[in-house]
Amino acid sequence: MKNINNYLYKKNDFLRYNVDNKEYVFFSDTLQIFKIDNEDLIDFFNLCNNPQKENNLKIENIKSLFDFLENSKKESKPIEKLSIDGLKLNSLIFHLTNDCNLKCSYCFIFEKENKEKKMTFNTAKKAIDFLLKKSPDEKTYSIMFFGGEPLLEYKLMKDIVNYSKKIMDERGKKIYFTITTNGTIFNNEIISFLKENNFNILISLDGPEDIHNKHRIYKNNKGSFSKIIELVELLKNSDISFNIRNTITPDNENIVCIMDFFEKSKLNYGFGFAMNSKEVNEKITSYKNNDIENFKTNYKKLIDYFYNKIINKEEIYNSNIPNCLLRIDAQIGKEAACTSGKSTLSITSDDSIYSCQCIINHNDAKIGNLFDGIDTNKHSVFQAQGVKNIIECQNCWCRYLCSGGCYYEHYIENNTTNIPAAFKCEITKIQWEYLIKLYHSVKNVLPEYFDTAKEITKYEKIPFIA
Amino acid sequence: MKRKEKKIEKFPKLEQINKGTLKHVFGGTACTGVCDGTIVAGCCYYLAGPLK
Repeated sequence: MKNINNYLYKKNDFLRYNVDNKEYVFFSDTLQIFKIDNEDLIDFFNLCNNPQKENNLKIENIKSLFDFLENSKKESKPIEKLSIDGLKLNSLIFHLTNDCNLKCSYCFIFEKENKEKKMTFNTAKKAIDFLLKKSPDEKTYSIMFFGGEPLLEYKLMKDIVNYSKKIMDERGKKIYFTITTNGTIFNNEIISFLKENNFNILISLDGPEDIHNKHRIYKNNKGSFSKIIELVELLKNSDISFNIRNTITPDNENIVCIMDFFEKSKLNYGFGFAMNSKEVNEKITSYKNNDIENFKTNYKKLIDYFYNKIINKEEIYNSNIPNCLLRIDAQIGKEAACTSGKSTLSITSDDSIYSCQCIINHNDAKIGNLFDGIDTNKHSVFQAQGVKNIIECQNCWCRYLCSGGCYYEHYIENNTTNIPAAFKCEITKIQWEYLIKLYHSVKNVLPEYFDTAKEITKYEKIPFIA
Repeated sequence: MKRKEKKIEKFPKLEQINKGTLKHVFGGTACTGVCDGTIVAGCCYYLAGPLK
C-alpha cells in the first residue's frame, strides 16, 4: 500500500462549497462539478483539506474513494483546454496616436501628447505587408484601431481601411475592422464610414454620469458623459451596432448601480477592471485589503442582481456573466488567458512591434520592429505564459478558469510576466467562486437557461482565434 | 461507525452537474474587441462582440 498522500487530492486541486445546503466539489484540472452526497466522500474531502487531522477513514477506504472519484472524472467529457503555442498571427492593432482629448485617471497609455507618436500611412502599409508575409495562408484578418484616441487620426484610419481592403480583395482575403474609442469624437461622416465598413465599435462608458465623470474627463476636467450619450443615441438611431466597455475601479462602491444603468439603458456591455498601472495613480488601479473586502461584498450583490434577472427571464445586456456561466456549464478551461502576442500584435508609430496594446509605453517589452522582424527570445517572454508556466497557478483551484491572468499586469506588478499580481488573483478567485455558486442556483431553478443563453449570445466562430 | 462498513464500490456513480456544450470557441485578445468576455480579471476590453 502506498503512502496515504498518493490517494488524496491537494487542497487546491478542487474547490468544495455549499449551495442550498448541498455539498459540491469543483475539480480544478477538469472543471467538472459533482455533488457530494455521502458522508464518506465528505470525510474524504475533509481529509484532503487537512491531511494531518485525525479521521475515521482507513487507508483502504481512502484508496477506494480516490479511485471512485478518478473513475467518475474519467467517464465524463474531457476538458477543452485551449492554447496557442508560438505565433499564429492574423490580427494587428494599430496605435494611430498616443494622443487623446481625454485624460482618464486610470489610462495605461501614459505617454500622451507627443506629436512624434502618431503613426504614418507608410508604417501602416509596412505593417500590413508584414502581416501578409508572416501569415500568408489565413483566410481572414483583422485590423484593430487603438490609441490614445484613434478617431483623432480619422483620415489616417480611413486611408488604412481603404488600402487594406484593396490589398485583401486582390488576394481574395477577408478583413475585419474594430475600433476602441472614447466616444467623444464623431460626426456624420465618421459614423457613415464605420457603418459602411462594418466596424465592430467598442465605446468606453463607465456607468451613470456621476460614476463615469469621476475618471473619464476632458483635459479641462469636464466630464465626458453627456457627449458619449449623444453618440450612443446617434448610433442607436442610425441602426449601428456597438458595444460598451465598462471599466471598474476599486473606488466603485456600487457595482450593481453601474450594471443596472446599462441594463436599464439596454446597452450591450461588458465590464473589466482598470488595468493595474504604477505609472498612473496606483490607488486608482490597485486593490488593497479593504478594497478586496468591499469588492467581495459588492460582487455578491451583483451575483444576486443577475440571479434575479435570470430567473425572472429578463433580457440581459451584460456579456461577462452569461459567458462565464456558459463556460462553467461546458467546462471550458483555457491554458492561457489572452492571445495577444499569439494571434495579435501591436504596431506603434515608430515601426515597433509589441505583443500587447497595453504595454507599448514600456520599451523593455518591445519584441521587434517592422524591418528586422520579431526577436523570438523577447517574444517568448511577452505573451501569456499559460497556467503551466506560472508557479502560483499550480496552487490555485481556479487556474483553468482564470487561465493565468494578464501578463501585462504581472509585468507591471512584478517586473516579470509569469508572476501574477496577488490582488488580482484574489479578486479573480472571488468572482469565479460566486459565479460557480450562481451557476448552481440557476441550474437548480431554471436549467433551461443554459440553452437559452447560448441562443442569446449568438456566437459564431471568430476567425481570430486558434 | 456503521456507515464505514458500506462497500464503497457500491456507491452510485457520481453524476456530473455541468455537462453542457458550446460550439463557440473561446479565446481572443483581451483588450480589443474579440475576446470571449469571460475574463474576470485583467483588462478584458471585450466586446466589439462576435465579428460580423
